[in-house]
Amino acid sequence: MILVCGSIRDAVTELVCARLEAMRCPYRLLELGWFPERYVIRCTWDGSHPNGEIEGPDWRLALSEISGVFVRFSPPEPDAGAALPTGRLREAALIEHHAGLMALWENLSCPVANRVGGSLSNHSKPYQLLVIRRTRLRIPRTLVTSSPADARAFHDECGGRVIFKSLSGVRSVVRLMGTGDLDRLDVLRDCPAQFQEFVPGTNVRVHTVDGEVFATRIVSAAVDYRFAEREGAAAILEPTTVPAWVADACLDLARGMGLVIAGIDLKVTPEGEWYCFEVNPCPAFAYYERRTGQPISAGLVAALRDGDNRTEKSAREAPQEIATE
Amino acid sequence: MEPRGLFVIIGAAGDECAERVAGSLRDAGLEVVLSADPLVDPYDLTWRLGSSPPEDEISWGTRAASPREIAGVLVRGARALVEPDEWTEKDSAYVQSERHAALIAWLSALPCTVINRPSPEYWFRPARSFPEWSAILTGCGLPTAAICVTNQIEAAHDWAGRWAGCATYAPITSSSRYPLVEPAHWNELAKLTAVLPVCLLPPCAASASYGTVIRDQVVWDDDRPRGVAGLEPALLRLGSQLKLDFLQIEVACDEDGFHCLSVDPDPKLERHDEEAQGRIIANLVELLLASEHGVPDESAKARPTAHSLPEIWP
Repeated sequence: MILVCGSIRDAVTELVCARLEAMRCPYRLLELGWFPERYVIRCTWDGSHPNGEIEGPDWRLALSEISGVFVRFSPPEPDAGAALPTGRLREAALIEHHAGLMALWENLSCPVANRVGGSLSNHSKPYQLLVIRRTRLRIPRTLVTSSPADARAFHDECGGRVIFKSLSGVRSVVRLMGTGDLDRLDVLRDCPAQFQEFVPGTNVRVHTVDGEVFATRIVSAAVDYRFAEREGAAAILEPTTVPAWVADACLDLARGMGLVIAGIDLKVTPEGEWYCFEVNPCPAFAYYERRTGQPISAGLVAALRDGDNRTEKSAREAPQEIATE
Repeated sequence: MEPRGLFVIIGAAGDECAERVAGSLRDAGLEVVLSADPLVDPYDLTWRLGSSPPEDEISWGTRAASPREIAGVLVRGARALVEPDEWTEKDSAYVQSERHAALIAWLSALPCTVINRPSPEYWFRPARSFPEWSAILTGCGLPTAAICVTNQIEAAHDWAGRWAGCATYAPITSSSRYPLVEPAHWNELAKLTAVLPVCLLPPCAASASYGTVIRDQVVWDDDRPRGVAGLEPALLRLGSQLKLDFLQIEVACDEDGFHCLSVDPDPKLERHDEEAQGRIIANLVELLLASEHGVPDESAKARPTAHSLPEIWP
């Protein structure tokens, strides 16, 4: 039995539930928007793993029956939690809710997509770069600095083709530095920032699911294709394949971080060099699946259904090179 | 004579451990920077990442002086970054996230010894819950207390039946503990279970001791329970598994033997007596000085419990 822990209002959770239905795969939804008031948890630890059960509105599930868990944390429903305190106490109570669930998922022996521990490297992009460069994938020339003068010098060294983005997991729009940005470099004194040499080429998003790789090619003139419309550009997504060594590197990254599913941002240059920018532990794969028809959610369901009995899947796609611009 | 490198102690104002280590190093004539946030004014960081570590360039110092080589770092208090007063709550939260992201990466890349070189798992989530610790402790061979997590008061009562209806309420996200002995205590817990899952531990033991791991040493108070030193090999395994040089564990002793009750990756000096505090400071200083004399890389290879180099460092 698969346990889905999320909110049906979230597009990714909704897709996972729809795929479970389509694959006739039994599952239970722990609707976080209504947790804990519509659920009962009874779990004990007398060693390393928890025992017990979760009870929903019309179901009861022993932890030992769970073959896999899909987790996507989301805020409560507006009408939920009437008994909760208000203000900061409410916030503290919600944190306590989530922590209670995390404690459960961290200690289950079945696959969990994804455990929180493996997700935290995404809170520091330069930290991830250190991990990424252990693979054969390249990382862009990067500067992390609190020095306005050094940032300006790096901009000049890179011929003015420099992008900047958040250092942390806070979502930011990737932009090319303009003259206006150079004028406000003094703010670096309060907060270091990350600058990267702009890498020309084609964006490729790889989703790794257990041992499988789904690669999507994104054709867009925008610097950040996720916000292409803002730049007056389009983004066309199409399925593609990546060289076997790139697939292996992506799988190594995901496995190394303990991620059952990951979204890995790559770019291939006109010269055929593969760059990696970051590993997303909470990928919005519904966006890619709906535009390309790639069976990402089906792969995820299979991984969670088969649980610890799953066999190692082929880590490699056919060794076809992706077309570059 | 070549200028000696300087030592960086990252710790909040008032952190006794950070201040005493800094004081000891200064007494030895060494240069020390003690800061809660070494990446902002007056300090400058410039860190160029290349495709491989030899291409990296790290420059850190104040604008007033030339960049200096860092000989060793002690990391205390992962969440103690300086809060800018004049910023809005939203801006402040963003800046804090950015600074933490920069700091953890920078500490990961430093080639010198970094005591408690942070990993994302412990830096971004230092207050992990006891149920999570329990699995790790058990895996290292350390005995742990039984745990119950529930939002059903009847289940809580049933579980406490093992101890004649007594237990301890341990909030999942804090280190506070509340005894559940009298009916009034249970009434309060019932109110909580209406809105929260609660974490219960067995009734508080009459006494608890703290053991502090400093790489391959474990420091206890002189009046430690008899036999508790038998846990030391498992404690060193714990430090090794967590890749922490410096951590503290709370151990209770009752008729069933020892039970680990908590783990603190940011040990508190005040939990020990004066003599033990002195040994902890001396051990930390010794670790840092060994790094200044070029020892750490070799010692890291020689000692299985040493983790002076980050895992991501090739």
